[in-house]
Amino acid sequence: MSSHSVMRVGAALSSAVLMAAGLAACGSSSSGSDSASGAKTTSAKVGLVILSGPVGANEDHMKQGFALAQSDITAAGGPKISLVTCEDQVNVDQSTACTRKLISQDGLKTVILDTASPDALADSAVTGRSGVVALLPSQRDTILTAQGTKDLFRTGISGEVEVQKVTPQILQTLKPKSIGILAENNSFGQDELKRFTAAFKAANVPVTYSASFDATQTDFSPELTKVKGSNPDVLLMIGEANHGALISQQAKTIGLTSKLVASSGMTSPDLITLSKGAMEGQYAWSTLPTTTPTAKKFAAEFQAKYGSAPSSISAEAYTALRTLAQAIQTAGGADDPSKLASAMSAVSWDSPIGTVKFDKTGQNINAATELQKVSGKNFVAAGD
Amino acid sequence: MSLFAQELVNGIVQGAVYVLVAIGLSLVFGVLKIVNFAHGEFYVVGGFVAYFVTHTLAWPYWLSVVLALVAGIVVGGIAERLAIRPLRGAPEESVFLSTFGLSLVLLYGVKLLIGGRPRPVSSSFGHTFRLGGIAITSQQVFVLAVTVVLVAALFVTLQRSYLGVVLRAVAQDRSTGALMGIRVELVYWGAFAVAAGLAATAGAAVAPMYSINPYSGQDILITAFIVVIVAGLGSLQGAVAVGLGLGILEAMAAGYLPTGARQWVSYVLVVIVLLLRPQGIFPERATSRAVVA
Repeated sequence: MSSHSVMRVGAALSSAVLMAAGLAACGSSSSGSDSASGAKTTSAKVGLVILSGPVGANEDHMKQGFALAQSDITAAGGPKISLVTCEDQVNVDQSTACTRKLISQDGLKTVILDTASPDALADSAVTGRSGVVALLPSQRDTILTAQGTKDLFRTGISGEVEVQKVTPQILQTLKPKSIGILAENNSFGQDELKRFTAAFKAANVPVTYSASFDATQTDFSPELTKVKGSNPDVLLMIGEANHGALISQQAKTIGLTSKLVASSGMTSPDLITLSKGAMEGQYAWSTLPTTTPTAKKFAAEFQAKYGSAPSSISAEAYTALRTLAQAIQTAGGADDPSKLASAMSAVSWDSPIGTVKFDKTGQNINAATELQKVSGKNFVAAGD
Repeated sequence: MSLFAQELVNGIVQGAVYVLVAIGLSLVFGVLKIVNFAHGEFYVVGGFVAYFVTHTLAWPYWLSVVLALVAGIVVGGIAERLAIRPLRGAPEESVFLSTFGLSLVLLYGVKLLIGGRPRPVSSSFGHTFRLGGIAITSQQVFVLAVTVVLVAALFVTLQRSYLGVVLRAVAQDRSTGALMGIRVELVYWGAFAVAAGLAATAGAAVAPMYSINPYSGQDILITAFIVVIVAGLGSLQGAVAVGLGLGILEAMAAGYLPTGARQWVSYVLVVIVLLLRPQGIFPERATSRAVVA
């Protein structure tokens, strides 16, 4: 190719990238109507930055959780909430662009942020500056609510609390003498890796092997071969369902005997189906308990609507929107951020993931975590 | 030692997948002189054919691989007719943008049909052979066998058959080929469809090992581009050698270097090659003898 051709190709590629960014930013958005079906029904439009793309396996789970929440809210006579969505393509810049678009172009005053913690961190800076109420359904990174961003609420559990709650359950149930950890190489995975290492060290259980993996990694045999060499009693897997499925399959292939424990981000029916039996009898922790009446009712309702068990992510999405709906009802809409933030602070209800109640940083202080075991196509309490 | 041997096996298998995808990309460049940004999506199409055949129809896995090859050829043939042929003679950037648009259509088409979550593909090749400290699954053996058979068939066809002569003639000089009575458009169509079929077969072959999602084609496309650039644009033999070599290099990097090395070693390789041999490692194959070795 001549240099002129190369320049033309470069220009074409640049145009293509810009076009793709534009398409991704604008084309995937959707919005519902605001029409009030009854005189007393409150209507609200809420922005949703949704994780999509190569590692966006939870996109469907989130959408299902939100859709079920919308129908339950309507059935309970709550506000009519329309979600205006924008896909992030697993890209922090795109996620921030989505947040800006939802606020400045769509004029929204409430945004549910991207599930990926690094993206949500960048997005929260935008919402904080814009005086918009932001909601975190599933993000784990502790810093999100610890950074003091105004009008930010996390209905899900923080990584810090998750580690505090699940570590004793692992110690009590599995009684490990040594631990191995494989964690995704992002802020969430590294935060949990650091916290689990410290927590097990404090309990005098050494972490004999730890390593990180990339989000798009599919071959875990180098790491698993090293895990096998250090032979820990338990191997924690921190990442997404597709990671856990591949790790468990490849662990089985190389003959690893360590007990596997999957993180809550992995805990979905996908983990069981994708692992093709390799997770049978292994463990996972979930923010959706198997024992509480509210969680059981939610799981049954979800099963009836979608024909499969809910994931942690679905339960967290459901809880976030139901919580927001209560605040919108109290505030009389979602257009006044200060009124909505006050109403959010006062919300308290018995959700599938525990009784939602926020502390002064906007963190839900009661989010549950339960160690579970894979039995057939289901997750059951680890002690069962 | 067992880590080295295990990574060597894994690298060869991964390299075989790169070969199947990259050889098609190289074939399209060598014959049609276009860079096909939609090539990775044919890999996804193959994976989803395997999922549909084994999961929905409950037919045997081996049949799904055959059907993925057929589906890839059909979808590739239609794509060439709709997105490439109408732009024959148009500026290069128009064709680039067209293939880019085609990739978006295929990606979001698949996503619309079955959603974004990964799908498992069942396989009858579930046995694990243990040789000393290393484990080799029968699925890995199958992937290697499929690659060897398809690559050998492609080379024999190109070098020993009338079809190969025709294809080489068009690759070297389209105008002369047309003057000699060769139906150039048919050759273009066939080359594009066969390339798509190879990528789709790779997607079906590897799906039981990694599952499949609508975005799977993006990573494999980038790697295939690296293979083609390092090998030399249009060089098929080069694509085979570099594809296998890159698979082994990535596996060794994963085994012996820090996290993330698997990704960056390939980029380091392409930068070094572009600095030292911008024409690629096998340039004479690419330039003087065009597409076929």
